[in-house]
Amino acid sequence: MVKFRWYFDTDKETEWLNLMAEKGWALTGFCLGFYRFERCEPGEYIYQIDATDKLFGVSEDYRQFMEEMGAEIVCIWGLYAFLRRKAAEGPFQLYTDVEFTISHYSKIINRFETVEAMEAAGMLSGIYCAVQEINTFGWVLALLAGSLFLVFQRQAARVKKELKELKIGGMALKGEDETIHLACTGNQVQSEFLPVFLESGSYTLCFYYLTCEEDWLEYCEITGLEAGNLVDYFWEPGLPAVFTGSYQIYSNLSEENSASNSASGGN
Amino acid sequence: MKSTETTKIFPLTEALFYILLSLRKPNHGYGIIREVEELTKGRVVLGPGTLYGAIQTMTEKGWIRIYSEETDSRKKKQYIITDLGRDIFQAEKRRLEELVENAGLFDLSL
Repeated sequence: MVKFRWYFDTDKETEWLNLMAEKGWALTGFCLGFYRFERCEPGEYIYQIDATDKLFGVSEDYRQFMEEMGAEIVCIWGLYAFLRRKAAEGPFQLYTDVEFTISHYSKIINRFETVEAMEAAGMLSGIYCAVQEINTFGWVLALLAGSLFLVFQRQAARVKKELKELKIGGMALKGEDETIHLACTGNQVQSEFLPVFLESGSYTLCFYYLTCEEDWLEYCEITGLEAGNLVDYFWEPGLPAVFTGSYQIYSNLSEENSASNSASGGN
Repeated sequence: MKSTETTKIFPLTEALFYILLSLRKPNHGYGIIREVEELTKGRVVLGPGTLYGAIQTMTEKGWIRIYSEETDSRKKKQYIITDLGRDIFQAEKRRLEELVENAGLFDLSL
């Protein structure tokens, strides 16, 4: 049986594949939106979709590894691998921790952004053609590219939100070179690192917020530093690496509360 | 170890901590998952994606290395911790010991 569906959201796609498996239809192939199913025992397989590192293929390492895990690579299309494992072998979940879930979603976001860039280029060239030649084809092209751009934007935004919530959990520690991670809960600022002595020099500060309310970010003022962004910050030699220098964080409470609720620190 | 390096490694995530621990002796993918599950009494169950990513990362960083590659048909690649991995694990162990020791103060004040 072949079904046609166009999924941008791998999580929803995975849900659907598992729904089909529960009904007794196992995915055996995929190409450009066409899903091929074959009969199976209801709930025989659990499906997962992984983001690969290269187009239309996975490394030998990966193949061996998944084989050892009892997972079958059903097929690889584009930058995604469809995996399945027999339900009898237990629950099948690829990413079970925050750090690697984040890198999985980040990979997906990068892809969306690449495609978005291509769509934007397509849209602009469509508009350009249309304007130049007063040509309907150009407008159609622009419209198509533009709408695809929006779809990808929305998907990327959704994944970014998930990513943010994961990071907001405050457990992600992977950072670029010399990144210090500070976690903020409401009005408290804590460091995730034990005090370590850093040599003097410039470092990058990255703030993660532990609340999930998007509005909160808007009302947050960090004097001397930008909220939610990477900034350069100089460290004094020999001082604890939690942070030095002064900073203050306010929540969006009323004036009278803000003083007692603000957190400040450093020297 | 330079202090600048320390800041991006610690604290180790539970996944990395337990994988390093289970690689104190040669072990392979499935064996690591089983051991971690046993040690944590089912609390930490590593998914294949997480384990694969962790093994790749730690191999790149030189914390673990390939111990052997079976040449028979079963092909189970085994890994083992390196000296660098040992250093990092010990540092993390010290950090945790300090935490637990200080946590004891909490009850004394009552």
